[in-house]
Amino acid sequence: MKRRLLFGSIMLAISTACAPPTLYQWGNYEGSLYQLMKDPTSFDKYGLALNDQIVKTEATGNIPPGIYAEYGYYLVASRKHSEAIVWFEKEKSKWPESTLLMDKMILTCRNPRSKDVEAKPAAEVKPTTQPAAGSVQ
Amino acid sequence: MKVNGYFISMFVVLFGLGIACRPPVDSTKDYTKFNAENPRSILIVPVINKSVDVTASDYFLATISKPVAERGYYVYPVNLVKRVLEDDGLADANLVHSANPKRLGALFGSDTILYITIDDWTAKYAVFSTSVHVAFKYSLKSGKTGEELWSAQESMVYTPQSSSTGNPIADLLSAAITAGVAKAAPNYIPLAQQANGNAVFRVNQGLPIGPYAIKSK
Repeated sequence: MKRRLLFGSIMLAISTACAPPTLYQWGNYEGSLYQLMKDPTSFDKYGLALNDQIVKTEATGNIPPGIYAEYGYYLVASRKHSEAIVWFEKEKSKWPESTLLMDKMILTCRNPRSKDVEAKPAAEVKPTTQPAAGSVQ
Repeated sequence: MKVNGYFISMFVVLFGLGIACRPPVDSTKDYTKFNAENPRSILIVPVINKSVDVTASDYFLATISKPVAERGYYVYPVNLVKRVLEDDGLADANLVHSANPKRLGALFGSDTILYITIDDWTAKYAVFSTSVHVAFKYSLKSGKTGEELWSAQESMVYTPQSSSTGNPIADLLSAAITAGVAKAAPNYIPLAQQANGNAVFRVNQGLPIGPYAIKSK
């Protein structure tokens, strides 16, 4: 009993100690990424969740690093290259550390001519976009 | 003399227990290399999975960005990074981990690369209680020199705790139920989150506070 109480109070202390002041509003980022890992065909759901998080967080708080870029990547995979650029630019201006990677992503968006860049997201997206989303929901 | 011997052995045992129960000596880690580089960004690459659960490495990735970013570092988007590496022919985490950190640093523009190995990710089933075990190794390497700047190990065990009702039979029953529930879908995620949080935030052992956390204070 005592050990249980002790364990419980330690866990409680840890959880409360870590909980209150976060730098960023994470929304359900971890949950939706977990869902994507569980079911890679649910990429559209992941994209929607990211968009939802961005809309909510931009209104009220501080967006965590990587979220704009993840959403941009979702758009690349959905072949919306010009839209994706907007989000890579946003990531870059909020997080200068991402500059090199974002510039590369933007470059591939501007020149989807290089075959491997274009072919892979397209192949990825085919099973996930319209038909799959329609049948799942 | 006999009594004395008894007392001495008691003393030795108690002393031993005292040492065993004390938390590991809180010697501060050596942060000289870390401080010399003063990194701002951390690239988390796909993790090596040594557990028998093949899904562990992907699920793990969902739990690591938050604590590292909350510590004050720029964390590269883990899913994007994973896909970019796959496109680069580095789909296998073992390949990524054996690649030169300097190459990854140059590819992504990251100050550091965080390599993680899953040593344990299992549920151990017993009749009345199921315990979930996780164990991770962390190694942060410089993207400029390739040298290790920080390392840590974390392991955690969770046994579902049913609150005691005071009735032994009811307790036994509820323990059986929680075991059954855990068997159906052992949930590693909260445990992995806890372990990652501990590894990153532990005083004198975790990652030093990063630039974005300093700014906000």
